[in-house]
Amino acid sequence: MTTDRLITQEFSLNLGPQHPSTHGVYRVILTLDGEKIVHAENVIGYLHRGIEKLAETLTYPQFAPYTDRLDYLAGVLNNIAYTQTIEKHMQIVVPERAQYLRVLFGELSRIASHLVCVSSMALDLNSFTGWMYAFADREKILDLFEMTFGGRLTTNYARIGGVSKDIPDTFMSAIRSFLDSFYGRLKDFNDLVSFNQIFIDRTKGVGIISADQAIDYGLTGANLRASGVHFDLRKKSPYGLYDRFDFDIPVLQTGDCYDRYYIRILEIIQSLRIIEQVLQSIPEGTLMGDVPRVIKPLAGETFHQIEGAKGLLGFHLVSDGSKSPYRLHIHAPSFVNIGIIPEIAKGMLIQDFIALLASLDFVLGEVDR
Amino acid sequence: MNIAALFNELQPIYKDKLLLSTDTTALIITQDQLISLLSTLRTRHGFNLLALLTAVDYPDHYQMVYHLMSTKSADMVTVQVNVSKSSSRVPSIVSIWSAANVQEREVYDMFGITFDGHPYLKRILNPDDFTEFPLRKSFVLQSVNRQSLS
Repeated sequence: MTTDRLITQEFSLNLGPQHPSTHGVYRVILTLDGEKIVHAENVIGYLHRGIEKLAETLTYPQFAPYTDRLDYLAGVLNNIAYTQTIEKHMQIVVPERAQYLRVLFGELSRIASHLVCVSSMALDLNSFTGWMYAFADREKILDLFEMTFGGRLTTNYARIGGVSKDIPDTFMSAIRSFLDSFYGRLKDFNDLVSFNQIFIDRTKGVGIISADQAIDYGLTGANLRASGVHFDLRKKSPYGLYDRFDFDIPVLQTGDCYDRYYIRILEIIQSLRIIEQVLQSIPEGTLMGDVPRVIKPLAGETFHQIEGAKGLLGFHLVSDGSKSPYRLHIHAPSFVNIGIIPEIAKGMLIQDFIALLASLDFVLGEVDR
Repeated sequence: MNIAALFNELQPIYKDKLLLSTDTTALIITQDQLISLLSTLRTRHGFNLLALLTAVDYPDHYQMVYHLMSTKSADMVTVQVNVSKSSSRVPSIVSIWSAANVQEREVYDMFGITFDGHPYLKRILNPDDFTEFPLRKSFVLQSVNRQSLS
């Protein structure tokens, strides 16, 4: 039987919302021709909690813990983005030590989030051992969080005007021993996964996103930089203390799944550089700036964004001068990043599609809000 | 980039259809010139990234907010459009940025604003059979009495 006489029928397949490789309650309706994807449609909202509406009923400090529940793999970064928005609006000065601690825990969060990305990608492409390696290291970062502010995922660390807790006496030796072991562990992980021929074959040249496409679809963060666009807010428009540290922005050119994976390993190394500099130069001092007892920002609008773990995390605040926001919009990078999936999925095989999902590194808490 | 300088540069083209907001942080444009202004900003002024698209429900009108950004210089510009509550319609900008696709769907889902020219305008976060537009101020959050549930 020759292939041109073979009549095939298109059929649809539901992937998710309960599926191990959709990383949460993400669902996609695939129209398939054999194993080839003809059409893909994202279906999201299974985790929608109406966080933006809730913000309008809560006072400014009350809302801070809700931000952990957005990108729950990097809670500290969300806390920082939210509190910096209020601080920018009210022109509150944050003490030096608190700023350093924000950078320290922000970068640790970024590493933890990237470790989840690379390890889950290994798991989705059948490398269970690789997953165990990176998750064990992420556990150690979460231990450092727990030691300092009690929470592991729901951190609620940054306060409006500073941070909640100082690092305990045992912290410095704990992070030192973590860092000393982590460099070696990262090499092991690279040998196991990044330079593994099977892994490379599954991801090289798969799901290519060009720079123009990435910008058109509003991709940000590591996904954009893997497509050859040099854009990181920490360098381009430094907020907080990021202009004081010496670090590079890794940029890769191909924009395939492997680049999107490997750029996260490179970013982990840069975050480690920042952390080393913080540990050397962190000053003594207070943790909270002068903050009014009742937070009542003047009427007006503020837009602030930071380089989150998944991309540009922006908060658009409209205040009417009362104790709670008139409107608070959260621009979640994952929500925009997955908008490109239907475009890239066309013509892919299902097994490659799984690699694409893993490489885009989205988190549903942030997509659905 | 200074918004006021940008405003002075664009003002001769759009005349009275373009205004500067009172706190000089945003450009306010009329609906019919929205597409033209945004594509000019993208092609001629280098604002190639749509950094945010959302809406705000004010007592007498809705306001669409677009934050544009340049990936080269990280400059930002804010563009606002007022939408009347009676029509609740605004042109879609999906033709300029594909990124607007999901974000306009979200605004439609939350505010009930219709985007003319959007290729696939349907609810995105709320269930398809939901009838309310939850981020409108007229939608009030209230607790359901426990007894009435049982």
